[in-house]
This record gives sequence, C-alpha cells and structure tokens, in this order.
Amino acid sequence: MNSIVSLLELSPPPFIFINDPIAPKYTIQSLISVLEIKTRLVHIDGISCFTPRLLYDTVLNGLSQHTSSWDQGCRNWSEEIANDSMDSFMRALKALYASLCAESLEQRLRLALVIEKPERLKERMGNIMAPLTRLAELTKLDLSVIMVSEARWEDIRPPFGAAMDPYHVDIPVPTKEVIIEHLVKVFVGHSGHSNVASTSTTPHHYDPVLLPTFKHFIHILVDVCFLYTNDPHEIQYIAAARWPGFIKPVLDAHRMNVEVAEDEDYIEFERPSTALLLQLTRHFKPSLFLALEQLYPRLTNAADWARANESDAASLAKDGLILDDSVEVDVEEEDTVNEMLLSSPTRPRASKRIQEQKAAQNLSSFDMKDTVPLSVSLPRLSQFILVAAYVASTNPAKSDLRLFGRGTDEKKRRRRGAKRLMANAKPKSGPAKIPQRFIGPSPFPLERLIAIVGALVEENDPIASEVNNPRNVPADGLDFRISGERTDYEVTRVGVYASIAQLTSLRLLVKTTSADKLDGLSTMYKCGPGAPSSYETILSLAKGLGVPLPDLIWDGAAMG
Amino acid sequence: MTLKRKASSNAIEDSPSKRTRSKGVLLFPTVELSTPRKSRVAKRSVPAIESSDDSSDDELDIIHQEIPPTPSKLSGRQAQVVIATPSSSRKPAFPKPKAVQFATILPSEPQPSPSKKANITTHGKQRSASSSPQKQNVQLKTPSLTPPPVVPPPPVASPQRSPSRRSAKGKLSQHLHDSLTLQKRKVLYTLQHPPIVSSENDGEHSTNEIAVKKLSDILDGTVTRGEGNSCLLLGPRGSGKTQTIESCISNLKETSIIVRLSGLVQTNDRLAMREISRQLSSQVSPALLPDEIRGAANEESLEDEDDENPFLDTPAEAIELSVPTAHMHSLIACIPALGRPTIIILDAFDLFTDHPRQSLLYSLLDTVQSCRAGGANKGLAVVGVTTRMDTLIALEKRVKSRFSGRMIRTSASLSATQMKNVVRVMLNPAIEGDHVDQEFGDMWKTSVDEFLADSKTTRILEEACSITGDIRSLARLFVSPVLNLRPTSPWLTPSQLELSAETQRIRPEFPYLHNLNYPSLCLLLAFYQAENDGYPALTFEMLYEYVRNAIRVSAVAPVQLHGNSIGMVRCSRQVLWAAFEHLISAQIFVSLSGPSLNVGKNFLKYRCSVDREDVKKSVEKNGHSSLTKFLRRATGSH
Repeated sequence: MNSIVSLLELSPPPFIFINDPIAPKYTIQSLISVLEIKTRLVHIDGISCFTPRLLYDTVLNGLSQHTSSWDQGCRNWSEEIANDSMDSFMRALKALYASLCAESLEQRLRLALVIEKPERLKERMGNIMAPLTRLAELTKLDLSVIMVSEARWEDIRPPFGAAMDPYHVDIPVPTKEVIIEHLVKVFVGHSGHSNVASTSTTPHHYDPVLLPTFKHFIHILVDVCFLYTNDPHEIQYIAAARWPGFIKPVLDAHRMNVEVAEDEDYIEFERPSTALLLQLTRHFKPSLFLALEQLYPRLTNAADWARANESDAASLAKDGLILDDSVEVDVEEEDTVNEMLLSSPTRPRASKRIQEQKAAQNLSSFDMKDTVPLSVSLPRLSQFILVAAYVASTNPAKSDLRLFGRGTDEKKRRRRGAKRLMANAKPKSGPAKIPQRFIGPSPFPLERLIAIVGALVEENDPIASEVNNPRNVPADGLDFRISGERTDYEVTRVGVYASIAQLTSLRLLVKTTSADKLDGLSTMYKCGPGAPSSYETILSLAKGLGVPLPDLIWDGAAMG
Repeated sequence: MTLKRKASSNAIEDSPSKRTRSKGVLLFPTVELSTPRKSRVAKRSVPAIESSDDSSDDELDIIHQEIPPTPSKLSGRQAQVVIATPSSSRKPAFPKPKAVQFATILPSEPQPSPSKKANITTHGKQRSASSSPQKQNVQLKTPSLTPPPVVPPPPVASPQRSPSRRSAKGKLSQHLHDSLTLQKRKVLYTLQHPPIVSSENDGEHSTNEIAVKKLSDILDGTVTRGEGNSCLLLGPRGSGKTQTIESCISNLKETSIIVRLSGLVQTNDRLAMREISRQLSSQVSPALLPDEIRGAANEESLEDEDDENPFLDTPAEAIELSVPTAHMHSLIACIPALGRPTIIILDAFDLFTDHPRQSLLYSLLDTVQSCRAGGANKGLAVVGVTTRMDTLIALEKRVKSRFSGRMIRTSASLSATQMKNVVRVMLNPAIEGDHVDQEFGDMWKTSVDEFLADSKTTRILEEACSITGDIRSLARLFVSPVLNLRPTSPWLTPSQLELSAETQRIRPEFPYLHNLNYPSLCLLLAFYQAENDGYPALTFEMLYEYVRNAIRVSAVAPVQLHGNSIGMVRCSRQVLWAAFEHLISAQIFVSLSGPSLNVGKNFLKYRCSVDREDVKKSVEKNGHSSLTKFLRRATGSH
C-alpha cells in the first residue's frame, strides 16, 4: 500500500492493476483516502457505470468535481456532448485537464482513475477496456488508471494483447493484527464523532472510555472469525452488530447508577472491571459464532440480527450480569420484568422506548417466521404435488415402476427394489453418475407428476382412503371399490391442474417448456430454485404428510 | 542512441539519429523559413509517451546551429543531461540564469502536455530550450487548442553539501535523503519513458534503425515531393513502433498535417471519419488555406449537396456533423487538396480491417494511389501500425491492390549485454547537478554498477530478454526495486529484482492462495478430491457434500495434540456458501453456464481455475494440520 502511494507520488505508470482477492473495498477506501490529497482522482464503480456514457460522465464529473443538480437540468460538466464516444471523451478529458491546470497555478496536476470491479466493465463493454488501459498514451496527459479487482488481470485482459501490460500490485491477505488495528481505528473515529451527540448522562456505545473493552472484544471476535473470513469489512460488520448488545449491560448499570444518585454529582463513567469483562465474554461468546454464521453470508442484516439477539434480562441475570440491585424484580420471567419496567412511573421515557423496542423485535421475528414453513401456507394437495415433483425431479423415470408399481405382492417387490437400490449405490469407483440431488432437479413431464401424485395420495392419504367406502357409489359409473379408482378420479380433477398452475406462479414449480403450450406430453416441469429443491424442506413437508420420502428416492444411499 | 554514446563514442557516426540530425542541420534554412506549423508538429510529437530523446536531441542541434554563442555549453549540457555519462570532462558549466530564463518563458507557451514538465524538469527545460524561439511565434499565429498550462516550479531539493564523505553502504546519512527521493523520481520517470536503443556494433544497423530510415524516406517523399505513400509498420509489442513514427515525424522538414487514429478507439468508420474531420479542422484553419484550395473545397462541398465539408467548418460544428459513409470517399479524396501534406497514422491497423467493407481503408488507399506527384496537390501518406503479421492477408482484394505493399519491420530482440546497457542508462538518468548531491550521485553510480555486475542480476536479465524484447516490460521489472529504496537500504539489490521479476513478469497464477481462509481452502480441496474422482465440474451441493464428509470423517476419530483437537473445525453450510461466493467473485470458480431463473444458485456448475498442483502446494504451505490431512485423504482416495 505504501509503495503504491509513493509510486503515484513520484512518477505514476499509466496503468496499475491491483489484485486484492480478499477485501478490495478496504483497499480502495484506504487508497482513496491517501490519494485524495495529492491527486485529482475519481472513483469509478464498475457496477454503477454500466454503460460507456455513464462511465465517461462519471469520470469527467468526478475529475472536475462537478455535481449535477436538478436546477441546472442535471447537466454534465462539459458543454459539449462528451459521452457519445471515446473520441469525445478524450477530447473532453484534455479540455478538462487544461482548465484544471489553469485553475491551479502552483501545483502540478496529476489525474487518477480508480476503477473498482473492472471485471464488470469488461462484461458490459469489452471494447472500452483496451483504450482505457492506454488512456494516458492516447490522451497524452499525466494520468494513471488504477484498477482494483478481486479477479486477476489475466481474467480481465482484453484479447489480442491490445491492452497495455499493467504494473502489478498484489495486496497481501490481511493478518489479524491489521484487522484489529483497522477496527480500533474505526472505533476511535466513531467515538470522536458521536461524542458530541450523546448526552452527558447516557454514555454512548462508542464512548472513548470503552476503548480498552472494545479492544478486548475485538480480540475475541477476531479469534472467532479469523478462521472463516479475513475481510476486515465483514468482521467490522459483525462487530457493529454485536458490540452494542455486548456493552449494553454496562451502560444500563451506569444509567441506573446515575438515576439512583441523581442529586449527587456527576458520576464518572468508568470502564468495566476485568471480572465483569470476563463475565460478559462468557455470556456473549456463543452468540459471536452465531453472528458469524448469520451475518457473514448476509442471511439477515446487522440491525435485525442485533434486535433478534438482544439478550434478555433473564439470561443476563443468570450470568450475574444485571448488576443493579435497585430493580428488585423476580427475573424468572421476562414478562414481569417488562411489567415492572412499564409500570414504574419514574422512567416513563425509558419504558416507552423499551416498549417500542419490544414491538420492533416482535415485528422482526414475525417477518422472519413467515417465510419458513411451506407446510403451513400451502394446501394439502399442493404439498403432495410438491413432494411428488421433488421425487420426479430426483428419480430417473425408469425407477417409477419399481418404486410405485403395485402388483399383487407389493411388499416383497418393494423390499427387493430397496435391496437393488442399495446394491446399485455401493460401487462408487470411477466417474460414477453424480446423484441427481447434487446436480439439481431435472425436468419431468406433467403426466409423470400427476401419476406420482396419484400414487402418493393413494398410499399415504388417510383421508382419501377413508372415503374409499363401498357405500357411496358415484353417479357416473365409476366403481370406487376398485382400489385406486377413487384416487384416479380425484387426481384428474381440474383442481389438481389449478394447483399446479398456482405453484408455477409461486415459482415453486418451474415450467421449462414454452408458455404457450398448456398441457400434453411435452409440457415439462421441474422444481423451482431455492426451497422446493432442497431435500430438507421437502423432507419436513413429507413428514407432515406421512410420506416416507427417504424410501422414495432412487439413490437414497447417497442421502446424508 | 544514448546507449551507444555511452558504450562507444566512435560509433556515433553510424547512428541513424546522427544521420537524420545531419540532414536536419543541412536543411535547416527551410525550417527557419517555413510557417510556424513545423514547430507545431514538433511540439505535438514531443510529449508522446515513447517520444524519443532523439527528437529533442535534434532540435537542440538545430538550435546549436542557430545560436552560435552557446553551442558548446548547450551540447555539453545536453550530453550530460541525456546520456548521463559519468564523464566529468563535459561537466556542465551551464549558467544558472539560463535555466531561469527558460522557466520564465515557459508558462506563456501552449503545450499540449505539461506532464513531462511536471515530472521532470530537465527534459522540460531542455525542450523548452529547444523550441522556445519558435513557439512564441506559434502562439501568435496558429490557433491553439489548449490554453496555456502551468508549468510547475522545479522540485526543490535541498542540496546540503556536506564535506563528510561517507562510504558506508548500509544506511544513508540524513542529508542525502532528498537526493534519494529525487533520484528515485528520475529513475522511475526514465523507466516509464525508455530511451531509444541503438545497436552496439558499428558495421550493421539494427532493425529499428533501418525502420526509421525507411519510414523517414517514405514520409520525406510525401512531404517534400507530394507523393502518395502507404506503408505498414509491423513489429511485436514494445518494439518501438510508435517511437519510430514519432521520431520520423519530428524529423520532417516541412510541417504537415498529422492525423492519428487508433483502431482501439475508432471502432467504426463513422467514428474514424468524424475524428479525421475533427483533427483536420483543428489543424487547418480556413484562413490559412490558399484561396484556390478553399474554393476547390467549397466546390467539393457543393458537389456533396450539403454544407458539411468538415475541413472548413469550425470544430464545434464539425462535431455535430455526422458524416454519411456515402460521402466518405469524396471527402477523403479532397485531403490532398489541403494546403499541406497530410500524414495519417492508423494505430492498431488490424482493427481497421474489421470494419465493414473496409471502406475507410479503401478510400484512404485509393486517394493515396491516385495522388499524383508534382501536381497542385500535396502529398498524403498512410502509415498503418500493427503487431499482427497477417494484417496484409486480412485486407480485401480491392484494398490490397491499392496498398503499396511496403512493410517496415521493427524488432525488439536485444542481447543481454545490450539490455544491460539500456538498464544502466535507465538507472542513471540525467539529473541536474544542483539537485542531487554530488556525493550521492557518485555513490549511486557505483552502486548501480555493482548491481548490474552481480551474477544474479545478469541471470535475471538474460532470462528477461530471452522471453521478450519488450523494453517496457523490462523497465517494469525495475520499478518496484527502485520504489522500495529507503534511506535505510538505499541501493538496488539483486534479490529485490528477483522478487519483482516474480510478481511482474511471469506471475504465479494465484500468489495468495495459501493465505485464503479455512472454508475457501476446504472448498478447493473438495474440488481437488472431486477431480480425483473424475468430476471436472461441480455444483455447490456436491462440494458441500465433500466438505461435510471430510469433516465428519475427522470427527469420527478425534485426534488430540497437546490437548488441542486437531480435527477439522466445523464449518456451517452458510459460511461455506459465503466463502464459495467469494471464490466466484475472485474467479477461482468459474461458472460453466450463465445464471438462469430456473436453476437454483446452488445447482450451477462450476469449474475450478486453479491448477491441482497449486492447490496441493498452497495447502501444504498453509500448514493447517487438518487441511493437510484432508489433502492426504483426497489424494489417497483415488
């Protein structure tokens, strides 16, 4: 990092490529913060600049530090049209450079274009890359193009060697120390910022007094996370989610103290003792790993996570972390705590806030819940269809007869099938066929789906078999005493097709053939992406229906 | 050229630059008498990236002839500046006031690129010295595109001359730090603007010298005799094609219109045409055109049935014009009718052949062919620059028949000793006497000599030039060693060079692989194992299965070492998934098919772009015990 800066300071090569596989964002931020003082620099994001026009305008506006406003009709920097082609862009760039030189008389001017995610530029506009790398040569200006990417230059390089070879810089993978240093720096920046805003009685989470505690916390956090990720930004994110909760008991205790000693002088907010720190650590350590698992893949966001994982008073009290004796509450149940807090007349504001927090917490947990169970939100027949679709997607078509075919001695046959199945799965030498479960669902015709639904309903639906009563004979000459007849009747109803259509519109099923073909042999379906093609979801669904799913999967031996 | 002077001083007579220079000197009166455009051309060419020291050299010699009183000083100084020989006999007795005077002249001059000046004052001053008398005229007469930029003051180094002669190699004394910084700056600058290389032996000329001669002959014919010429300049990357052209252009005896196009930028004929019209209109102002030509051009435009002759329009209007391709041919045909000879340089010529029907090339070459020497028309030269040897084949028949077929080659084959000399020149750039401490300069010189004499350095250089003759890539090798010079370690070391060769020249595919985090390495190992099993492409589900199995196996038989479990650490699916996505964005895992609405993300097939051996090595290098175990199992499972 230092070498790049000094290189840019001394005599920048026209094109630098920085390869940072772990934390390109971190690199860019630190690079920009250093360079901004010394050079005219523009930061381009390959995601937001997805057309050449946007790219040109961003560069020009950024270099001229021009911000377009509504009042001026969002005009760009240059009067002429500068964004219609590379020529115009370079012309405008030269003009810009000249005007900038005229503005700043004394200092030498050096332009720098920092491009983030250049691989996106390559995808969107491949023919821009080569001139971009040669920009200095083409415009004959003192500028350097710096690309920062996770990918390698070899993957981005335009063909035929048209682009100039860059000066390569490799950013090493950040070590623990670097990460800790970064986080502490962020903390200090925060405390400097928010100190003004926070009132004197309620110390902020990022109070400078807490810095040693924060360091301790960070050490623990990095120890937990470092094995799994070494991106400073990710760890910072997790820290931001956990730290307020971590330090909350301390802050609460202090607040209580202040309130108790209201008449006396100002109580100095002091940093927590080592014993307390250890207690806190013991209490919160399991949640750190949880945070990693949920926040690193961004399954939820930091605020929601912090709200959901706010430790309740009961568990805190169990670990002896509620220090204040003035709240004489039987902390067995949270409700009582709430009641006490709410009913206590001395702290109306606090109670109101707590109430709001509670509401928000409930809301968020509700939000999370409603996505989970398919078994609740879907009708029973649709659940059958989903299970059948999964079976049809995973099994080869030839296995259907063995799994579902019922002759006279169905049990025997079935066992044999299962045995065969085991025998089939055993020899796993050479490039054996990959189990369908790992490749993803395969398409199947509609008829097959309906047949399997029929088989499943016939065997596993107690409601259907109950109705198999010889007494109610239907009018249209069907004899329900023949086994399977009733199911056949049920399954070919319009309702089944309707629910398939509904599932398709929910994208739980996916139609792979074109939309204008409605039915017939050629209509192919498959399980939709996400939940309906995951084994665990379908298994739970099948359990609810009483379907023995593991028995119905052809290469079940490969099942975990 | 500089190299040669350094190497053998009696070889000067044979260097082409010398030759051209003598021509320039002979024909000097024409330069004097011609319009200021000449200086314009020279000026334009000077700031090119690979612009040669050659050109400035020649200009200097022109001045040298022009101003009798100062020649010895100038040339002496110039030799010191450009060649940087240690010969102290030519030590500059350059008067300080002169430099100041140049610097004061400078700001009032139009200069397309002040960058050079910004970077290095020696060159800037030198150039300003060479062209300042003419440039003042320029500003008066020719319309200038760029407002006068500002020339920064020369970097102020504090040359505290202390009498203490320190010979210690280890550290640098305090007073020399500024010198080191300055030296670094100069060296880095020179590394990015490498000098022209000339051949070592006196008898034969290097390919590039021949190329320069041939090309300047051709351009000469166009400029002085009004010929229509076309040629191709072929050569591998970094072999000095652009340098050759720039030096030829700067040596032209008569001012001409230079149009530069690049196949990379002008990706279709329309853009190219527009750019031609822009460049022409910026270089030719209607007022300067002779009346009859203007009339002819007007007629031309009338024949075109509209008023869009871009050569006579002001630039602003010309930009608005869209030149219909139907008119292109007739518009190009009137280029020779302009007041001055025109040289059109087509960079990345091979890309122009991709344009539909090659109509631009056809028009240009047709005009060239029909250009009669000796008529009222001026000459037109079309120079194509390309790296592709098969470009001629790519031309259409009708285009090829109009092309002269002249091909000039440049080459970049350097011997190791040549290479070494180039490096020596680059590492000992010209530095003004005041700025770098004399003491430091001497120390630096000896250290560079030592550095180059080292066997390791020699080996690396030999390797480098056996791979490529590209000077730029050679120079890149030296950037980071120079950059890493610190007051504590102020001299170049071969080991630094070796390190830089590793990162800059032949890069290891994934140098950071062994530092990846645990889940990523797990996934890579899973891929490794899957490849052993014969699956070249995998989905995330399969990878997850592999990792899960591995973790389970290691959990079955827990091994403890010093009280710590050394089994594989549990890794949840979500974390693995995040790591997986990281690897995808680093393009270590490459998707075989694009994302689709109908296929879940976890079922897309990926291929691993990391070599199997690399995975193995990096895991071994990482040294995580459980991962090595995983590796052993993966290799054993086959």
